[in-house]
Amino acid sequence: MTSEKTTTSRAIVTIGILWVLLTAAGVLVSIYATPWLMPDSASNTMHMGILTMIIFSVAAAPVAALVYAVVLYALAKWRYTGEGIPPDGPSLRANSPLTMVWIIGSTALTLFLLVWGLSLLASDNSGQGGANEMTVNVTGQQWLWSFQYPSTASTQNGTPVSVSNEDLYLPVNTPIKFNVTSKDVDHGFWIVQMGIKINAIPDTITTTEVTPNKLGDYDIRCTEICGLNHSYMTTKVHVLTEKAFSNWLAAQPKHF
Amino acid sequence: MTSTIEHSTVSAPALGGGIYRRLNFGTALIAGVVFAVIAWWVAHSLLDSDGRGFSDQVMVITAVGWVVGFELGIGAFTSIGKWFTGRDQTHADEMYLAGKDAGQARYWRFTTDHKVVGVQYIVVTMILLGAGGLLAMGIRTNLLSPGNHFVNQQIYNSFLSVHGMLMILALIVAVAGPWANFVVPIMVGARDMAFPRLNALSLWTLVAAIPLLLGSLAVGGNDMGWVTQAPISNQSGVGFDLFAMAIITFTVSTTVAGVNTICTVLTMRTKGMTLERLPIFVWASSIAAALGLYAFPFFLVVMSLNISDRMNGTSFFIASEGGTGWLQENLFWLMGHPEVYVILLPAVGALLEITTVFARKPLFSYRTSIAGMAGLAGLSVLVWAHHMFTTGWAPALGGPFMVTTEMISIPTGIIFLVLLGTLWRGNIWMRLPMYWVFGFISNFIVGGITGIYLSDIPVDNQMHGTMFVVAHFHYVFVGSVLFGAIGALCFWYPKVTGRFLDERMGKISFWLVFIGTNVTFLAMFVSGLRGMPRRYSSYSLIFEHMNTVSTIGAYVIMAGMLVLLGAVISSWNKGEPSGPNPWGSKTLEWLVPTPVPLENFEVLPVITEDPYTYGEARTNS
Amino acid sequence: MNNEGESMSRYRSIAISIASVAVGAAAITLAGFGLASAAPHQATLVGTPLGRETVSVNGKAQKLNAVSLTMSAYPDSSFTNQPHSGNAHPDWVSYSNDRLEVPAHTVVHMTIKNYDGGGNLNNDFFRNVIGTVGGTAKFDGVTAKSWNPTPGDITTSVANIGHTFTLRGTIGNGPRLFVSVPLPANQTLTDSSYGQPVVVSFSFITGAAGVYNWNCEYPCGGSRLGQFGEAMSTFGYMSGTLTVK
Repeated sequence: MTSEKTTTSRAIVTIGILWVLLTAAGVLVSIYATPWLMPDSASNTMHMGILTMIIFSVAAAPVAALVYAVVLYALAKWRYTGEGIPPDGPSLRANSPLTMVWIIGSTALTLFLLVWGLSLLASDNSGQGGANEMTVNVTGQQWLWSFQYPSTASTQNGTPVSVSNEDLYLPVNTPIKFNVTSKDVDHGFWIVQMGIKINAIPDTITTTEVTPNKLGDYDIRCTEICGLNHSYMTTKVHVLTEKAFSNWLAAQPKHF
Repeated sequence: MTSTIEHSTVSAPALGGGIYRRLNFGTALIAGVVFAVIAWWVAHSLLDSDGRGFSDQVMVITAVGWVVGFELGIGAFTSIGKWFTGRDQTHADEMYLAGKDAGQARYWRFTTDHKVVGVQYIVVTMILLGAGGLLAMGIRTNLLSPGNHFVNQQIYNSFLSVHGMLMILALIVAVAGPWANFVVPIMVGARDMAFPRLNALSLWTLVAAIPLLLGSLAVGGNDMGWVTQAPISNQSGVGFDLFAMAIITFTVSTTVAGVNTICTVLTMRTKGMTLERLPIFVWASSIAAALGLYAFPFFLVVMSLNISDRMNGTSFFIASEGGTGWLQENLFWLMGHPEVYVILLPAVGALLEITTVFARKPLFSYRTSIAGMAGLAGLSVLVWAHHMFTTGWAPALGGPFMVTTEMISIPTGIIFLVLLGTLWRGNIWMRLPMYWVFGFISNFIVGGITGIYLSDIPVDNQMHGTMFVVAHFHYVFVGSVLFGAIGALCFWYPKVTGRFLDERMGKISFWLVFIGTNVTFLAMFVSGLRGMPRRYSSYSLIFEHMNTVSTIGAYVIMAGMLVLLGAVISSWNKGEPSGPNPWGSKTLEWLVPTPVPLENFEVLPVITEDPYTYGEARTNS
Repeated sequence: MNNEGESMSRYRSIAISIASVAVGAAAITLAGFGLASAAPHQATLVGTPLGRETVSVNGKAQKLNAVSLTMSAYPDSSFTNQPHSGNAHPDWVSYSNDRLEVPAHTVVHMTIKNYDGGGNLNNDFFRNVIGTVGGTAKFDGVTAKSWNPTPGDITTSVANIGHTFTLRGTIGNGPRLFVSVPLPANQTLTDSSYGQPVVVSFSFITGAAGVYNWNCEYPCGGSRLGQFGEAMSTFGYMSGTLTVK
């Protein structure tokens, strides 16, 4: 009987040490590898998204580490190396305290992730909807995006015209609201470095909002399979200073 | 006195089978083609060829002709016909149908013996995996470098759509088809399933669906992904109609099979086999079957409505005419999410069986594991809209679906608890099936955790529609379910054939598939994190290295699966003989001889304890 | 099992493993190439070299190599030398070529003859000439920034557009190549003859090497939704590739 207790306590201690080491490795990888692997952040939405990935990875590290620790120990110490069918092991049918701890622990972890995620979801649109919010109409069609700035709408010889473009230009630090629609089938409007994504649906207007906070050129890619040239339905977004943006907008010709 | 011995001829007992004697796979193929051609000609001549849905109507009616002809040709309707005319089956008929004394031929016809159906399902699964794997090689070869150097983007889109559907079908039946059929009736102590003819029907209906799915490639393919989202499904060519008819046919097959499994487990358990003495694989198969009965009718409905939009000019899914594409997505994912648990649960059940046998320990926390599986199944019907977070449908429901989806991690964690608890202090026998258990544990941790990332909406806003999602579900489908299916094959192979699957080839195959899976899909996670969308046939140069690595990994998986195929084929007749219970298991299927007799048991057993009595003193000798 | 029996079965196992992979890989490769070559296509149209030219780019003069490319757009697929062997859909609209090739960092003088009729675009953004040298194109000899011959009115039949040539692609992080030119409708098309085409010519400058993608943005295909099905959704009719070498 003592040898059984010693076996168990030795196993627990060794697995515990292994668990701590693997968790530490997992946490380090989560904190350093995640931002390195992900695209640059050009908006607060994206920054919070990357932070969420890090938090989720750090929370998952001990879970994965525990499973790998037990498995590695089992393969090292509990492997049967004899001939033929091994003898039976101990009849451990249940361990109610362990099961309770496991369920409560996983519930607590889930709740933590939920609270984080739900509060982030609720707060995401703060700062939007102010007086300086700019609207851009996004039209997806097979197989490219076009962008129209309704603030420039006017008429020319009785025809309504406004500025529209195949690349998206945006002023930095300004809340932007996108009204997205499609001319034919569903497309997915995704600004990669800003962490926003919404489907473009025919005869419907869907909306999303973001405030770009970094100058530069970023990518827009379509994320709903839309047919033949879905892979080519990509374009660029250029984030300029507010002055450079208004200069650009004023210099653009107006189209139908 | 002389006695005269008279020789009178005694007529042989009437041979059973009747018309079944003439029907087999060959007659089914011929009848299917004949009916398809007739249906095509009738539709083509009688329907308005200028009508908008004309080509779709013709294609759908041709597909119906094929299925009806195939089923007639295999004899699916024969017994119904007989019953209508008042001539039910004789005992000789039933014995013929069960394949008594029929040798190899019984595998090529409508045979009701559940063991024969199980073996037929193994072959069908291998065909589906092989065809899907071929297309996967096409996909990865095209993605070796950007620029569509292998196929053009239209062919690529068709490859990925049909690859997805073939593999989903393969995995739905991979464990449930062969093993819920072959093993479960013996495990519960029955002589066959509750509805033997429905069993054969479910297999042959699945076989009828496969040419329709492969045929869709031949008529121009379909380029909308396996999820056939409206509205693009409306725009697609006639390949979509064959695709949808294949699915509708499949849902009939799987519903029939699910009913059969549940009725067998509920009503045909032998004396003493209480629910608490059932092996965990039986529980897993039953829960999966029940979940499938809930989910697959949605599949039938969504495909029918989609076909109706194309054929009849209805506008269920056309926004400009009063419908909405969101309806299609909701109906589809109401099926789609429970379906992945229909796929997962039998594989988990099989792996748990294997673990008890190869660690020589009882299943840890039997009741909790059942509660975990039931919880998984129950919760899975509440999470479907997490596939629709970025579609713009009902943003207010994002929070609730996030909650239900993250809660699924709790029953999933119970599966790990049970697995690790069963391994704890066992005498782990590292034979071939056990390798796949450990591979599963490693892969399922990655697959499960990455699913949690996707359940969080701000993260999903970044990750939806990227290769991150593809890597996540491949870790679960390939890394977890396929590993479970292969483990189950290695485990029960000696029961089916009386020979071991060659250990060395099996281990070579395991390492190739395990390393290949991790290389392919870890690199895919990286490409998704960096911003590569999914279903892209060509990509920006910044993704090139990761894609090259993924493609090399895919070729390694291919090599591993080919080695496995070689092992299965070469060991069938030439493998090392195993005897009836080589693994020392305590479940009923191992206590009957190999090959298993037609009616499984000489005398139905009486059960006094569950099959996990490892390490316990016997209560009766 | 004696030692000899064991090693015999080891060699056998390994031999069967290698054979399985070899046979399987060969079968897969054959099937793969069979499937891949099922797509019909004709030879690549390579740009004809024209020597060196001086081109004004963003106000600065640059000396670049020049090539010329000529293709056509037809109202059906019955013209000679069309890209679809077996002519699977003779009544679908089609470009004359689906594979084009030009060198990198070159000015491409492109001429497209449109024989097809047309109507109204679903997005008037594509009436504009975008991405060409000078931002203009020549329509039957008349230089313009967009196709709208009756200013202020885009509803007359003269304003109809048959197709567009829209080229784009994203290769790495380099400068994008985006060119879109409308092809006005051919007013002389009748039921029995193609008539005289509308000739559109424009120039654009290629950047880095890569495979770019072009297609028409006019709803000239079939299907209930936006007319982007059928010809528009099938490779080789209204879309193709531009390989920049």
